[in-house]
Amino acid sequence: MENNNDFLNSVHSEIDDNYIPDNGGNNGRGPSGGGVDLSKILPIAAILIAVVVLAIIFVPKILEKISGKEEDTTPTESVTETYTTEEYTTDPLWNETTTEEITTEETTTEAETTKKQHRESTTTTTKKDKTTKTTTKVDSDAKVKALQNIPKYRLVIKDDNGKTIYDKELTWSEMSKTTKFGDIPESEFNAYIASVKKYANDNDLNSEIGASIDKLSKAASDYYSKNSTTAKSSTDPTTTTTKEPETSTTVKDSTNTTTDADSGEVAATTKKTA
Amino acid sequence: MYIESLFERFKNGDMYAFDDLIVEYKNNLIFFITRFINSVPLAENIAKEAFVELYRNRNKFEDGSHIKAYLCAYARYRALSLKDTPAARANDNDPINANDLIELENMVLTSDEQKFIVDSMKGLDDTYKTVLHLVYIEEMPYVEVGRVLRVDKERVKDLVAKAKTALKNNIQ
Repeated sequence: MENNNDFLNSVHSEIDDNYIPDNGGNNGRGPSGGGVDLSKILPIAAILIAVVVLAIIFVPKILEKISGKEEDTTPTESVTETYTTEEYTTDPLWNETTTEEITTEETTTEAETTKKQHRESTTTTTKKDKTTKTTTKVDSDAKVKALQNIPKYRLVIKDDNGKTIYDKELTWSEMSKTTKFGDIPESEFNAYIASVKKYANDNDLNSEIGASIDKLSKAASDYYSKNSTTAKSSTDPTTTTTKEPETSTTVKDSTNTTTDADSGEVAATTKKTA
Repeated sequence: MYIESLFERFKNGDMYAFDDLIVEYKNNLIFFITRFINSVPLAENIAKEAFVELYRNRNKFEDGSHIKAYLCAYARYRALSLKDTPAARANDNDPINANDLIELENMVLTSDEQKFIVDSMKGLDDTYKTVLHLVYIEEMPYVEVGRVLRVDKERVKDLVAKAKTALKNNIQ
């Protein structure tokens, strides 16, 4: 029969071999038993939990940031680029129109941004916004194309010998700013203005060029009425008059998209006889 | 109170208190096991298992009042399961084992009355022997005896009455 010490040692040996003390360390009576050492697992588990928590916190923010960057590359910027690289850039009239379009776009974008902040934009919303912008851009493109095709006026000036000294198609931009009505017969000018008015009505461009047409018409009207008075006085049979050189001008309704790079002053090429 | 104090210290991680508990219960437990199997070495092994189980389940006990019942219940279950195995009969004719049994009996039984009861129990049914041993040798209350046998108090009373009758008949 075993004595007490042998019996106790046997029991402790059995415990040490098969069970771990609850505190995870040595029980004070020998080496700790086998099994899983929690002290080694806990730090790894803590790191894993920390990584998961950080991922839960930061991944949505990163995704939000990425989606925000995509929003930044909205058509607003691309529209600006498109307009500035268009051939109409040199045309003050088009520049004005373009500026208006850009302003509209920016306003829309700000509104969208505000909406987005209020309702935490979703992917669907973003798609919808982009569709709206695309539609707006399509409308703008159509209008730009229409403005591009406003009828031009072909001005031909000949010298005394009938030789053509000036022959050029003048764009609406050039025509709208001209003050040299003397080179253009009144009837031809009125016919040209009428064709431009009709074109503006047909293409819904009154808001863009209506004011310019009215301004030009008024200036021309003033000029021609003044010129006709002078002409009447000059037809006095008692005075010697000099015959004005004949100028051959032609009105042409052009839908040609070609842009004239030269924007020379009409007056510069006008020849007057003494 | 001594057992309660030891168990409290043991639950708080004092393994020396656990040693004291083992020493306190060891001989009685081994002797109880030998009521079912005749081998002292096997009884010692079963007793060791019981103490290891006590260590493993120490946090399930609120106090030390049921420790003896727990040890006896585990030991009885293991002894009955090993009773008919060759290991249980390996020391039947071993003189050392016979000497150990006598030595063990002398350490546990402190009165002539207890010795008489133990001698008279030979040949009784295992259940009767267990009930009589727990009541008269271990001096356990009926409730604790019921925990060992997994029966209620009334059933213990009934078993004790029947065991007494069987013991009386055995003595006569």
